Amino acid sequence: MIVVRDLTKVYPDLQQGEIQAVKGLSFQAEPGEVYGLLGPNGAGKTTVLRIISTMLKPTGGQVTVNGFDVVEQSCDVRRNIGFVSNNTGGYDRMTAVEMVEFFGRLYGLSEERLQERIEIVFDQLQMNGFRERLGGKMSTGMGQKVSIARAIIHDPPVLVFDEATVGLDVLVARSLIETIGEFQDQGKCIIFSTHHMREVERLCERVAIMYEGTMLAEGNVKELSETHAQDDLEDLFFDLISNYDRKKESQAISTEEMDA
Amino acid sequence: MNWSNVKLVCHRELRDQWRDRRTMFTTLVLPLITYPIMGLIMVQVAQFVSEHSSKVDVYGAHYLEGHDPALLDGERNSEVSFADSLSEADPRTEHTVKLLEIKRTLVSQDEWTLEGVKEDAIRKIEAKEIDAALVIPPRLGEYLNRLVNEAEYLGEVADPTVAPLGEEVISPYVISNSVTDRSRLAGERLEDVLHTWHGMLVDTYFETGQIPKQLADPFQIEQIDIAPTESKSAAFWARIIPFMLLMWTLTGAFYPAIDLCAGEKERGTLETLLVGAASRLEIVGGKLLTVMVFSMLISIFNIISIWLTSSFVVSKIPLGDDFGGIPLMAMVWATAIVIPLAALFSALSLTAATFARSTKEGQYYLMPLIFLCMPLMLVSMMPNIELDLGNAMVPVCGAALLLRELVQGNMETALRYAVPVIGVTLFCCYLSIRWATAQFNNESVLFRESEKWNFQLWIKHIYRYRKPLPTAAAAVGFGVLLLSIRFAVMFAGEMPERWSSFASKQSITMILTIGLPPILFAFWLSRNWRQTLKLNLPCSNRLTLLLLAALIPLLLQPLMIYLQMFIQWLYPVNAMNGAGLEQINAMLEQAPLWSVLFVIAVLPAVCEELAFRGFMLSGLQTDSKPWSSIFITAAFFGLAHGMLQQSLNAFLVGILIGYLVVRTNSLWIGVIYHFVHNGFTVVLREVGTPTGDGGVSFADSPLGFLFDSSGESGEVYKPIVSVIASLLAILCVWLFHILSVEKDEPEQLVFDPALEGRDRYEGHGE
Repeated sequence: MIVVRDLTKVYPDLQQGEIQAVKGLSFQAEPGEVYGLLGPNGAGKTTVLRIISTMLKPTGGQVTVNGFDVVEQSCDVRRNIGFVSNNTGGYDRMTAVEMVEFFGRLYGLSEERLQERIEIVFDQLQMNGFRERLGGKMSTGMGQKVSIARAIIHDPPVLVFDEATVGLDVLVARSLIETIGEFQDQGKCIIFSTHHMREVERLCERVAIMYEGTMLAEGNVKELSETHAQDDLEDLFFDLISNYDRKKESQAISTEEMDA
Repeated sequence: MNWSNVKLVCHRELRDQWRDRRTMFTTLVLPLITYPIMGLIMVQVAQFVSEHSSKVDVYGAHYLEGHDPALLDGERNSEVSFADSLSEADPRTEHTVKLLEIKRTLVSQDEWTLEGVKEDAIRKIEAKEIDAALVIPPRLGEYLNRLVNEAEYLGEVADPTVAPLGEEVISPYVISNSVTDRSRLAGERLEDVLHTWHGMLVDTYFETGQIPKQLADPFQIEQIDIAPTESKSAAFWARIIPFMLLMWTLTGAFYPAIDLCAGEKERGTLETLLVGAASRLEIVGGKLLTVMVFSMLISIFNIISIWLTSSFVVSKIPLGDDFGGIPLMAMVWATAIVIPLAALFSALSLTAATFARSTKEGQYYLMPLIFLCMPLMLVSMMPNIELDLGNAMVPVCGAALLLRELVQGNMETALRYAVPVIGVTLFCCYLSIRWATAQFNNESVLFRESEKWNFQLWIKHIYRYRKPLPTAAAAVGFGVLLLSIRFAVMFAGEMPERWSSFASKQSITMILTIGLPPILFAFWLSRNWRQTLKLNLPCSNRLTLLLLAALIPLLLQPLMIYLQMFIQWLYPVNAMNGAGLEQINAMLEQAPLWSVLFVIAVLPAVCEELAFRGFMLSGLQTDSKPWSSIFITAAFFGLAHGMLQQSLNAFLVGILIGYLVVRTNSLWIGVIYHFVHNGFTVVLREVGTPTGDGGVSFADSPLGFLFDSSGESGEVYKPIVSVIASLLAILCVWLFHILSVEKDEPEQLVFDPALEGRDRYEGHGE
């Protein structure tokens, strides 16, 4: 289970002094749930997920994964989490099985348990056909499967997918979505970030719509459609963003008038 | 740290590199084939140059016809050759004569002139028809006959038909082009032949005149070199091997480091590794071990290759006794010393490579690293630098000199300094590893994205978004700027001869280059300049703490003098600096006390404290632990003193002042300490009597009971006085520690690890 409370992240920036990538974000994802993070590029999704996976440290707020704090107990968090993104590359000079073995050993799996898990994972992801193929000679789809296998080898209760379908062809992307569905059935807590509405509609029960580091809406996809009187998630997304931009613009004008 | 994770990361990286054919080729194959190929080429070139025959022309051979001993054989207008008697006289000439191919001789002509012949020879050499030419002047034969006559006359068998010898000397000419190797070699060969003939002529004259040969050459110097051939060869390699080994260790570490850090960023695999279970320290450890293995492998393979080449190829070239194969023990020592050096260079390379976004950017960082290390590596090739305790304490330099001693077989010297050299190298290695780990923990370094850098924008940015106190980066930048200005000023202009000029120059320089910058920087880079410069007094026990700050330097003075003597024994002051110090001492003796106190004590106490314990320490404290800040500030404070002996002293004093200032967060404590430390020496000089050699005697002063003048090193504090004063000083520091506790602990000095990476300025802003 993932609990995010008042999360903020500030990056230093030469032009603006600092950029608030995440502004007081709060949400919670439960076991057996695929929680969707929907937002355009630059919304702050990757920053949130990198904080959850302990790659970045938060500027403010608190994040726990299965009860472990991402700052104080980062090692425990990493043992409870599997992280897949379109940025996580594979090693060109290692075979699929070597790569998965390497990460399994890092997670501290015993040799017996590791081999057992490799058989399960390779069967589940249908990777036996390229077990001994080097990373540099794999197709994008194969590479992504190895990436998932590496992330789930230690059977973590929490999985994070950060725009994992970007760059994949339709068939591979569809297969990935199906695999994520299987993980959900296994009772794992999953966060799935994307900017494709269809993927969210298909996978996620609850979704958070992010824009400029802020959460514009959160809830069940159906409920959100009803609340905002939009049948389609895409229309809802555009509607929320337009409202946010208009509000921001009017606030800026009133501030200028007050200053004047 | 989980060592099994370190091993796993290292094993993975090693396997990855092992499978990379390019890496393996450059690591293992290239060194093994490069040196033998280079050696073979050298042998070939040497053989080509030495065995290739030279084409020469001989002009005027007929002028020596019938002369005995003969230079040339052959009839007039026919082909000539060098006389066989030359070969019989000297076996080396026999070999040389064989390599001289006389193309043709100029036949006798009535219009033959020396100038014309020279021009003809030059034209032919330039047109590469011949390599060199020997010109026998028309009157050489006649001149030599006259010499024979002279010899006979001395032997009282003079021939009255031959004209007596005047002062005229007629010499043969060798024409060659020294710029062209072939022509130069041909000229040298002709000279060798002529030299042999010269010897034969002298022998003939002495025999004719019945003069003992010893008159011309009474004795020859017989040199007895006690160094065995192997040692001479070792001495040669001892200068070369340390430099080569250090260079290979550095470059051998750098390229794998780039691939393991910047390369991983580029390929997107770093993120994969960071989300794995290994901690950052474990990842750094694994990568460091991999880089170390490669650095050592590259160095050792290069050394083995050089050894094989020197033993089997280069030693076959006749280059003299001093140039033989590398002694085997040299190889063993080189291998042993490579381990700590590889660790140091690997950690440094890893830090630079972590900072780079791509392999291309990483390669840009190699040059600065090489430029930094190069002067320290080159010391092994310098003739007048020996391994002593001072040099042993300098990183890289000490290792290079230690290796030189080991290769030369000077085991006694090497073993004496092995501990400080290895100790300093390992300490630097520890610091480098800490730095590399800090880089790996720094998310702005790991996830750095390229952005366009604009100087104007940057200046505005740091002013607009300045924090209450300056950042550590600003503090270090300020320190570097201060040192640059200081060194520029130090080497600009001559040392004034009069005290008034010296005092005014020193005061203006001190105020402008040390005192003013921290004030300007505090306004520019911080929102609270008073807090930045620590201009507040201690919060509690104010008077006691200020008094203690004045008392501690007084009590520490004897210890500081002994320390100064130890430092000067370790690093003796060179002649130039010694002369400068004497000049200043001479000026001080003539100057009024108040002005000396102002220039030597007041100004440095205010200006240097504002810069170092004010701006710099405040900046460093915002991002580092107090002790790290104190040490870094003290290091910059030491470096600012320019002269090594003063720098070491200032570094140690800087640590103590830094500690006292951090305890109270008050610059005044530092100012008082600094003033008393500098001022007391000045006052003591006034109390004592100048001895004339720059020293001071206290024998007749009221303080005479404190000093002992019987020692060899002049007037120093009595040991018992020094011990008691030092113990009292420790007591005072302890008292200071007790009195300044808690209440004066400034809020921003408390280091809270939980706040690391988050905004620590919350609630501190104005």
